Amino acid sequence: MKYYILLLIGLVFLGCNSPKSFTGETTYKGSSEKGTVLLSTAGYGQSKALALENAEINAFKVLLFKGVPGSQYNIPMIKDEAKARQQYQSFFEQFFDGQGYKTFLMISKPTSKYDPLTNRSKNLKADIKINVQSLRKTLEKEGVIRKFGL
Amino acid sequence: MKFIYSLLLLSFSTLLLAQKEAVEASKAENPTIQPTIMVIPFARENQDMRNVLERNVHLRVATTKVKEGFDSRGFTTVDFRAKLKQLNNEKAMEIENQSSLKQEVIELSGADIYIETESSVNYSNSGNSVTVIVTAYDAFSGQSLSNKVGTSPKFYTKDFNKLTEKAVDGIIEDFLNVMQEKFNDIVENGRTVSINIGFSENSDYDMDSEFGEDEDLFSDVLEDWFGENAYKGYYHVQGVTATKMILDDVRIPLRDLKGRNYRASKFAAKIRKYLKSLELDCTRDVQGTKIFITIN
Repeated sequence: MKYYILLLIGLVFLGCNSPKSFTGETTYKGSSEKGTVLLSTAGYGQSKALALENAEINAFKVLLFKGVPGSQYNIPMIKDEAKARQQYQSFFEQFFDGQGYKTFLMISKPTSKYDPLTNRSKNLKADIKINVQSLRKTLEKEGVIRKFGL
Repeated sequence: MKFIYSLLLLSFSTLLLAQKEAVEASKAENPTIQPTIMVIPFARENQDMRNVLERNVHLRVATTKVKEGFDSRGFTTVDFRAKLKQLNNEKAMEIENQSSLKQEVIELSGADIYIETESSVNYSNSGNSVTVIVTAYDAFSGQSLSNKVGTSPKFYTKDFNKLTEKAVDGIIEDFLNVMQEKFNDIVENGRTVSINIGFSENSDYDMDSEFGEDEDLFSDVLEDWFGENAYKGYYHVQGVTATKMILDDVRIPLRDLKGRNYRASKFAAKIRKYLKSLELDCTRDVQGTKIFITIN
């Protein structure tokens, strides 16, 4: 019985520690330089670092799989997320879990305070600037998306 | 028995793998033929296209920025001014009808797709801006592939070249992404060709002639054949009369089963072979993605 309680506590603790799943809380803020996009995004996590990481991943997921309304990237770069993730599993593991996406990150700046005592949802807002041109070239090189043309 | 099954399975999978590798190798040897793209300035009726471009600096900036957009995606476009120079100068000047000059330049360049670019200046008390309209057309079918209108922010400036750059920068990525969507659709669902089937004056046949045991009309026989032979069975009949059948959208694959490029002329040859099997003699002409079949 003691072990079951410990296991339960452990599971609850684990659940609290893992960042919340992907949300679409990403809006377009501008595109001051050609080939880049500035996004305002939000992330959740047990610590400030985890929340910021979640916010960065959210921004990339929206850009890649959903498209950013109001921007030049309103069409998702990858049309079929499930198919691409299955076909290029190792690439996406490296990209998200291995933090490969960070090489395309130009700016990652929190724009709200992370204060778990007052903010029960443990959320952090951030401005994220992505080098889309470089990201596109890498996706093309890896065969995840097709090069321009037929 | 189990051993034989395993052996059979192994040899079958090896065969499939070898076939796949052969197709992949063939693809690598024969890269898909890319469409030729040319960026041209928009000109009103009776306007000399060359004059429009030479007198309007911000239009030149707009066309150059659009070309730059293609370059950034690793795609080289055909230069309009260079092609224009290729045309006989006198001839170009003599042609008053602008549309015919445009057509001539497009035909001469062999462009599959042309991008028409227009720019206009907007003056206002709250500042000036430039509006750019960019439209991509399929040169043969006239199908629109992508359209975008971009307006620069308003500034108290007369530097219209800079405003034009801002207007194009604001739309070019989206414009190219929409075009790429259309290209992806072509890769997935095949390339469009239009087919015009007619009869020579001395022909004994027409679209109402009866064929086969069921005495089907020739137009119905043809429709059945296109249903079976168009890529993924996709075809659209624009109209049928007793003397003509026009199919404005018949899909053909980009590649054949061996991974080689599949051209419109190959599909024309397939039609000719089928007509021959019906004991019909015909001639065929292929212009780009347009196929003309004349039954004698």
